[in-house]
Amino acid sequence: MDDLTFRLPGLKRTRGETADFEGPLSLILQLLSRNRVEIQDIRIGDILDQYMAWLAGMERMDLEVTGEFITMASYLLYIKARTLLEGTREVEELDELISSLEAQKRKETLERMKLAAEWLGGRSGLGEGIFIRAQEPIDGPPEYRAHSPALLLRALGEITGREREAAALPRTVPVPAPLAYSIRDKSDEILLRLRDRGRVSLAELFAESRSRSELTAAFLSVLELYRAEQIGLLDTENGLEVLAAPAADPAGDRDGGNAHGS
Amino acid sequence: MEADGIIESILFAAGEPFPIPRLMALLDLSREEVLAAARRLGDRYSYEHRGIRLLVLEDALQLGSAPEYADWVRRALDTRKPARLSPAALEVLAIAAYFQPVTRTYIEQIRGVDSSYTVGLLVEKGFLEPCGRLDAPGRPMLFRTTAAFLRVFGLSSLEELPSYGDAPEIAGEDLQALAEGLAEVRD
Repeated sequence: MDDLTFRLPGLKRTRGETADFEGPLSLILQLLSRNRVEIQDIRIGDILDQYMAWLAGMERMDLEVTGEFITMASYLLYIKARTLLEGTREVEELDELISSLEAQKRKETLERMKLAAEWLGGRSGLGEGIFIRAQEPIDGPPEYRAHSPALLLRALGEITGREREAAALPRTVPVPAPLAYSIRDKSDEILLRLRDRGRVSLAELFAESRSRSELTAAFLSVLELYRAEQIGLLDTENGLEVLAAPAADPAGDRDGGNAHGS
Repeated sequence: MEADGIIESILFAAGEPFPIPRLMALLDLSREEVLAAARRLGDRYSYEHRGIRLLVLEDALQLGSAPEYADWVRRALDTRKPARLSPAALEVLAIAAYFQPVTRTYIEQIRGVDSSYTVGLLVEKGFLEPCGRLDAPGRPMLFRTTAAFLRVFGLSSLEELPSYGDAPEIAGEDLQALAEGLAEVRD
């Protein structure tokens, strides 16, 4: 590729000076790898234009020269693309070059972003005075919206209706008063009976009861009287009999019954 | 116009920024028509010195209180002015605003310092939001700025951010020249 040289006007050297470049493509890559020129200043379009013009002048395509050009140009394009687009893949040969270019790019970006942050900082008060509200919680059950006031009136009507119904009912319900049969009364009755007749069968005493209350009173009276030793109990063939006296009736033994003493 | 009233009702009920495309679909209107209705509403609020303002936040509309009455609102609701964002937070926001969507690692690469706390803080404040994951090892989370960011910085769109440097445009020119050159080679 010795006979193909490129001319790139206004290339920036790293020391701040600007100079034109003239030479083969490989020289550009060499200068780039030594950080002698800035990749930003190399216009790929210019290089391609010159190559196309050179090719047109040759009026034929030399595959060897073209192949070399493509290799060089693709390297250049790759570095340029990496610089501009900040790709992430690595090329070993140009690692250092690329990382220095990336660092420079990052530095420039950070400087730009510091300016942007400053600009934003100057505006951060602009929206502070605007208050906004969150969305109303309107996802609830739909029946709790869209009610007519007439429904309240109906609810009130139902309450008064219930009151009227309650008023129609009789004020007091006749509840049968419990016939409290006093154990003391029943005990007196049993003692009177025994004074007259001497003995009475327990079954008869219970059978005479006209209510559950009287029956309970009779049962409890017998127990109480027996405990107070006012009466005695005798086990006969016809069942238990209540005796007028607590002392064991000799007749009981005579009859073959057992007087209950405890 | 009826659309103005409908949009006003929707924005009132929504509270939060409401997407313009949804309004377009709901009302069967073009983007320009929705924006014109929004402009009419906003102009009326300002002209009549009303207490609300209509905010255009990129691709959404939102109702907010009028900033000139902010002190009255603060006194009524007993709130204080929010603390100013730190320079570090502003840097992170600037990087996110210009290069979004960005990963936390990308922000850290540019700033050269750990930025996880600041990113978390900005997400908490509602200025940044996650927007998917980068298709790269580790699948890092991507972040972008929110409508709240635009509102607080008094912006209607990210396009209002000032331009610093023009590197991407150079790339565009070069690629175009290359494409033309290659087309010529093929011919």
